[in-house]
Amino acid sequence: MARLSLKTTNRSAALFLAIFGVAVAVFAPSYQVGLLTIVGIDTIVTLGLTMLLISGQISLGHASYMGIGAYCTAILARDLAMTPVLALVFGVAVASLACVVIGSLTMRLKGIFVPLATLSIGIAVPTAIVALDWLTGGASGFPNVPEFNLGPISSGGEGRDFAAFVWIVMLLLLLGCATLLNSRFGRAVSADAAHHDMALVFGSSIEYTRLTTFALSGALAGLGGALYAFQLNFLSVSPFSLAAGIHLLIAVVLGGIVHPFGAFLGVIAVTLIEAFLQNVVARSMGLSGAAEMMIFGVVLVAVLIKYPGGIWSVIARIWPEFTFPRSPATQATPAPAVPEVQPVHVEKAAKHFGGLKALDGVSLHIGKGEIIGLIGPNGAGKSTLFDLLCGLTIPTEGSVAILGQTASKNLTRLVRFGAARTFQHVKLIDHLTVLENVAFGAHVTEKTDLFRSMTGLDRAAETRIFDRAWDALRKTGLEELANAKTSTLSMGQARLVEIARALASNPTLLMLDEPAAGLRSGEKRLLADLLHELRGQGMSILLVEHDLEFVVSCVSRIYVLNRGTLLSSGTPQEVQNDPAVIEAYLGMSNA
Amino acid sequence: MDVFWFLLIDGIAWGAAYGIVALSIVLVHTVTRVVNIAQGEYATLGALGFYMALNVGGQVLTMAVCGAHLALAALTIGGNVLKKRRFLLAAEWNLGTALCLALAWVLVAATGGNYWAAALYAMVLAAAFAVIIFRLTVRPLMNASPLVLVVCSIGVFLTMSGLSLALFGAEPRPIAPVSNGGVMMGPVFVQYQSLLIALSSIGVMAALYVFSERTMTGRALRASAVNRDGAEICGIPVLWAGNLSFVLAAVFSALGGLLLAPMITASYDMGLTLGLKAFVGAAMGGLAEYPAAVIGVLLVGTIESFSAFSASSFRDVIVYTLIIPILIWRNAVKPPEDH
Repeated sequence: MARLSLKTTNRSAALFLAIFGVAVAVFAPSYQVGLLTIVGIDTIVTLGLTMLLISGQISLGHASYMGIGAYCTAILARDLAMTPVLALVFGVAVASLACVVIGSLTMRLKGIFVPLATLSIGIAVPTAIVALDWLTGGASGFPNVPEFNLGPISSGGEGRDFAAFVWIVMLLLLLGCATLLNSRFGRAVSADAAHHDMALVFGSSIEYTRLTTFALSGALAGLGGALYAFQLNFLSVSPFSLAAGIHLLIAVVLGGIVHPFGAFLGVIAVTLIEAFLQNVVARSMGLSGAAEMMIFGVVLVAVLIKYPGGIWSVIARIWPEFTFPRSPATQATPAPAVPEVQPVHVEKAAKHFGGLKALDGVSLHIGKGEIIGLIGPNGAGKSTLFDLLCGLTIPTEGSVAILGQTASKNLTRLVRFGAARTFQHVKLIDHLTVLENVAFGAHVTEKTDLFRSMTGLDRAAETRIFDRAWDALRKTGLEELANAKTSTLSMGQARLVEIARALASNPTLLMLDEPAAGLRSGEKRLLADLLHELRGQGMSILLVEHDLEFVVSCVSRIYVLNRGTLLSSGTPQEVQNDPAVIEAYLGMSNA
Repeated sequence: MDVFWFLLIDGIAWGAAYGIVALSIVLVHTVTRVVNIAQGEYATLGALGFYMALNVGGQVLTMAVCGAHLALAALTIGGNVLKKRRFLLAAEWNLGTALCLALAWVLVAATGGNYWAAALYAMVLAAAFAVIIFRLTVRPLMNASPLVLVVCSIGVFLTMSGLSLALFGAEPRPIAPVSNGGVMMGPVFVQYQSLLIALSSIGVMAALYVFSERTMTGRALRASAVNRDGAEICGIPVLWAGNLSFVLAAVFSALGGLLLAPMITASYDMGLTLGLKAFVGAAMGGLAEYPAAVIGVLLVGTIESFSAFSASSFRDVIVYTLIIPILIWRNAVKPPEDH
């Protein structure tokens, strides 16, 4: 029996829930219809926060953006008599903008500063809403929000059509976010959350990824708020307070921070707990406020300690994994046009850290179709030189030109001109498959946007990206492992995945940082063959390696660094017979 | 001009009250990496426990807390026996706090709710809660990311706040100050209670500063924060250090809470505002430096009292928005260490 694909499963689940929701909206008593609307709204807001947490950010005051969206929509619709739909669009836009502005301030903060900053936002915004009483009605609330009207849908009366509308919007957004996470943008989000320096090197801008996520997250919160305003006709500040933000966080943690559907599960769980407390505990014991706080507190701690994956981790066992069909294209993607310029041109480069001269007057050239080895004892300056070549640091003196580009701090740039690298400490995205990791390497070869990624209109681009990824897997002999999780790989396999990812970016210059470390001798031979084959296609390769035997078997020329200066260079034979090299390596004069 | 002095002194008095909690937050964070959102709850516990002890109540609560400690100790000892480890390993905190709490309560009962006995009892009660919370929430998450620890402390905050509400009720409790009256400082009348708070704050800060900079134990505490594995290898018992920091912080916060209570009346939700404003102040020192945290809370206190005078409804907006530029500045000058 063929297993269902992830996409089919997601869609079937959504369709099932849509039928369920519409049935409730049509047939159920009006209390349940109201509950359906509220669950839909809460899920939309929680989804925004889930997406933020998946991207590695956090917001303790996310209810604030919901409040901004709600009050904005309500003020526009009532006091400026704007069409409800237009007011809603403005409300969403303002909430999204607020999230981006605050996000741009907090995204550079490190570690514990982020929760602290968002915590104070979560207090400051509701307090400001109360303080602006001439606009918002202050503590006495904001009554008489007009009805929502869109074609036949209206929030007036029993609101059955409105409930169905909210529910369908929620499901479309859940599906959209699920699709988004398996797209080019989703991989960039995962890469940023896992290793942001790696994301930069493959041409994904951290600012773009994070701010887009903030915009999406704020828009979802604002949409929830706007719908909430129409649903209740009356606004007060309490559903947007810090306590509400903490409730959202509880729903996210309960649902699980992996799949957007977790947001829905979390909201259902929180709603059920609340209903239980109100109907059972409060009636029998009469201390609902205290009991609610304690039970949510205990549940939150218990889930964090015992079930960090939340409810989704249970469902994930039967939910299919993301797979991309094996590419039918049998011919390799064409090798990139080899540029006219010299791939690497380093002239008398120096790098000083204060008084320490990590590099001093080093010149290094790599021609087209050449494999160059860079060796040297520990502390020789290999890593500093490698960082210069990758654009991680800029030289204190001298010039560095990679594929005709002078060194600059703009890390995302080099890969566009065809320079790709691997990392000595393997930097893969653990929860993604090998194929998806390699596909991230091809990030720079396509352009997509948020809307196309959410709606699946990026199919053509995705197919081209995965063609490249399959091709890179074929070259590195990793096809069998395509759908394995990277966390299950051996060190040697992980290093090959690093190389495959670099190849997927379609480079003309490949820079490998200790690719043979941890490889068995058979694997090393295969790697050497691969490098020779790539060179045959016109690729230039730089190898930084400790394993001298491996270097000698691959390269045409070797540069030897020692104490920040160039000790020797030439063919492997020349270098091996250079007395200076022997002294540096064996630590004695030629006796 | 009198108004200026009045606002300034008022601000400093409030800043000093936030200061004691802020120092507790810094202590816990430097040793355990936990950003303890629930720290203010120990102040609540201190204030309400104090009120309870003044009226010679709380037998049931004392017995329940002691019982919980004995149960945890029994579990630990049972585990030690099964795993053939040292019998009392890691159970001494539970046994010790249960004993101290029982003794403190006996003292309260014997003196008929003496002011100082009640204060002592309130602080021991807070410490007893701290030991339980450390055992149940921080120990299992020793290797978790700081973000998980923050979210966990939010859960603890909810639980403690709900527990305070269930135990002590929602109505505010009036507590008499240590002594009525005050003293004229220049043009301004300062209550004795305010002076006491300021003195305690200075005392706590001086003690913490000397302790963490000058004594071997204090250095061990700091070492276990910077590098847990390294500290473990050097023979510093990291769990013990974490426990100690939680207990000390709880005692200080409870002291702050019970000293502040006469000025605001004690209630189950007093800890939240106290804790959050302490956080704003502590952020000034990146939750890592005692002197900077004190400057931070004094700033918070004075800004609060001046903005209450000139733009009262925006007072909290100003105070809480202030943390963003502070954090951005601090992040640029001295970012938090990645653990």
